[in-house]
Amino acid sequence: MSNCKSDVLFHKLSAKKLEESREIEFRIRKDLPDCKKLSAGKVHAFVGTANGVYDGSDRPENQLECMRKGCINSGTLTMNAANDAVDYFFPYNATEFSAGVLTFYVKGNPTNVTVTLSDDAAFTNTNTYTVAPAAAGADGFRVVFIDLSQPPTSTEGTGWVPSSNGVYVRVSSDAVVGYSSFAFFDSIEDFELLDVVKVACLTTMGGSFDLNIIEEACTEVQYNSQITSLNFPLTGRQVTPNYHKLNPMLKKGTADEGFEIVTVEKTVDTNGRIQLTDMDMAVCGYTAVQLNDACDVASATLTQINAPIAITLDASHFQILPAPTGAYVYLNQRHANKSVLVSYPRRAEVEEYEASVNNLNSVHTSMVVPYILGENDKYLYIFDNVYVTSFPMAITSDTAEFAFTITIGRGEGGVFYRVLHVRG
Amino acid sequence: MKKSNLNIDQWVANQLGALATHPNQHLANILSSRVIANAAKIKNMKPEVTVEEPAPHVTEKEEKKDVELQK
Repeated sequence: MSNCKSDVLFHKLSAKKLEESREIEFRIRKDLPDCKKLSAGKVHAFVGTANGVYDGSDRPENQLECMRKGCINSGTLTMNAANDAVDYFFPYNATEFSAGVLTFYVKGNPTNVTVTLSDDAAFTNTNTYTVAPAAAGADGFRVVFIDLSQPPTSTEGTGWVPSSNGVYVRVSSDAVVGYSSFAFFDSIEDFELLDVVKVACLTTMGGSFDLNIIEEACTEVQYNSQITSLNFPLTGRQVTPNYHKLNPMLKKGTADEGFEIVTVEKTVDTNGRIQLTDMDMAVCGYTAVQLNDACDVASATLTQINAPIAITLDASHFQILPAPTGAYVYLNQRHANKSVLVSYPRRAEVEEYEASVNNLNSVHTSMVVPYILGENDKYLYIFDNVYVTSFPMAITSDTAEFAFTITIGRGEGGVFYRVLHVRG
Repeated sequence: MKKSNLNIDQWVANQLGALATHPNQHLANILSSRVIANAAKIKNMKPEVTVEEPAPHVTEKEEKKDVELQK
């Protein structure tokens, strides 16, 4: 009865195990700062016989930020005629954005838009920029983007002298247009909104997405749709150097000078002192001195006396005072000509980051995860709204691993993730 | 005809003056360098930084008449 047996099976796919070349990509998106905005409806004055009508419901789509949705922009002031000019007053400290960026939207088809900035309402001393707006978006609005660190097209009088009293802005155009959503930014760096971080050499990727079943009285058993998040553990051995940007608490600080701790061997001069020309005097503490040739290691480490003037020191003390360059480390005269080890903060060029909770909700992270089945079947899982809830800081003497815990939240339309089947 | 004037040295002076009082001096230093570099670019393109169009009392018609008289 061999004809009744069949060992033929359908073709299937098996998941390929994690290989070194597989990478997970994170896109980190920051929000544009939006504190120096002005609605086009807040007209200071129309120039001459110019006039216009404001419609609060006619709002442009956000063209300055990738993916950011919501009511970012305000309504539109439509002018009656081409070349009609309208003045606005921005009650902000103009010295903060004098070399920054001015953006707004125009609705219509102008060749050029003319923007004049002045410190006085009479526009006596001005800078004027004549610029072409960007291509129109689907809603007909065009972005005007003026880099104020570039020289203007023309100046009048002494030119615009930016002050903390605010700035007057006059806008006109060579066509009938509407204006919307004015905003000043402190610098072009405010538009550094996107970063990509990659995690590779993966050892663990994802878990399972668990759904709960509920059974209520008088109803059938059903899924509980009230879940709010899914977890996705991720461990890799390699990360791109900018991986700290995945830490949602970190925000770039302003310092470009800082310090690193170094240890050097020095000989105490005949005055009982050592000069450290590159010591960062702004940093308190972190300086340690140890006698290099002492038999008794326990008593070889000296203690700092924190006094602002030179004092008579015991053999177990040292003191730091400013030198013409850097600092002097003073010791007891008994240590003259002896070798000492000094550990101190040395000045260095740095990039500073500050960790605080203030930054948490202005950074948005999304993630693309490839799943590979068979040779030509690649599935890209796209998570548009993920939260890094555990950031790796531990380093062991074993092979270092970077273990993240990712919580997947709902994206637009309540969607947790999308799957793209890439067929080649 | 409207006068078109760009006093680039004055513009740089105004910018640097404002940036000197900027609350974030680290950013102000970056912006000051950028302003100076951008001004230098314009100066290299245009040796004469102050550009004045013909005086308003000379009209295009009058200029044509002058040319005809010379012929």
